[in-house]
Amino acid sequence: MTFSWNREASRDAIRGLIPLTPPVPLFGLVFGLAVAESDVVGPVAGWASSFLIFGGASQLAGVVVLDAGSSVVVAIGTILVINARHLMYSAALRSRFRDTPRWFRVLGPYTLVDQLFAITEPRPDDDPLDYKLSHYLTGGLYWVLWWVVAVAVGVVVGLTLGDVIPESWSLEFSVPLLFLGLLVNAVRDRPGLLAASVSAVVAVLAIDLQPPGVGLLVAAVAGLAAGSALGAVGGDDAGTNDDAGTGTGDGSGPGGGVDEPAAEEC
Amino acid sequence: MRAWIVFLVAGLGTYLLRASFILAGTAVTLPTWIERALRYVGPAVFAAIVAPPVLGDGGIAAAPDRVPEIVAVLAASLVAWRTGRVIWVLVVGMVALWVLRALGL
Repeated sequence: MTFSWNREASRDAIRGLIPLTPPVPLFGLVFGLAVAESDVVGPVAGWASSFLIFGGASQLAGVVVLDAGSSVVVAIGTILVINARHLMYSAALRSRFRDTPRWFRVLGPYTLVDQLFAITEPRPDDDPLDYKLSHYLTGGLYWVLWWVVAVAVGVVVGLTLGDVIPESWSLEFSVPLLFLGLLVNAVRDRPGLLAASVSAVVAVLAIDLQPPGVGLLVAAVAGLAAGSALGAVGGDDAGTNDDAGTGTGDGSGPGGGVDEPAAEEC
Repeated sequence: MRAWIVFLVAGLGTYLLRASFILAGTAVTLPTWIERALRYVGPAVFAAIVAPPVLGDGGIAAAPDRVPEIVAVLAASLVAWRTGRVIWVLVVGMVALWVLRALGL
């Protein structure tokens, strides 16, 4: 199956990702320093994790637990727990990609990181196939290249210059800020707002849960439950009388002005 | 060597987590209540990533020591809500944090 490249889609993907890019070099430096200081993880293996795993937070946690003397099994488990949220991304994007060619459904998920999910999920499910593939593949390629290069630079800088970022700058604070930006764009209605609020509170309460990453999953599931409960009792701004749970997930915001055609009821 | 094994296996596992439902495609049907919940994956997951680092490892008990972080996040939230522009969220949040720290809060 062939598809013709949609330039507009590529442009949209890049435009969506550029504002999310500034923390990437920073995180590359943080991760690179951790690799440079590690006794267990060599520079090449550390760099290779950027494309073998392709998930910054989990890579960092992997290096930290390996340095702490954890077994191979514990280290793998730590990384997989932190990345388990991607299972939810996969489920949430299933309806968008259900009619795409198999090669895409095999290849595409490799790049399903937070930022790519953030720019993909709000898109309407009825985008043309060419748009869907061009948009997602461009975004994925853009992000892989950034991350692989950022980690290479980070490892080299870590080995040669050491810690170049003064702690007093608190640049690590840019990570929650980045996700705050993604969050606000992801909240489209009152159930979404409730899901976010419940999840935030539970995440803070669950901060001591071990291993790292479990608190996030517990919080996210609590948020999903709260959001869908409110959505089910009619808190949805769409204000439709009929059960909207047909799984269409059109992704239109409350101000999107998209009239729901009656024909959509099957 | 240990590191290579970890990264290879965890990399494969991470791919499988990401591929799962997309690869299954039409072969799986999810119950309506799950489909409905999936609408809120973005808000739920992103909020769970944002909140903990604002208060730090101390959790809620540490809140009095984290006034700059909390105020910076509130300011950045306002910007995020009004503009929807991530770049301004980053700028306002970081500058607010530095200013509040410089003020000795």
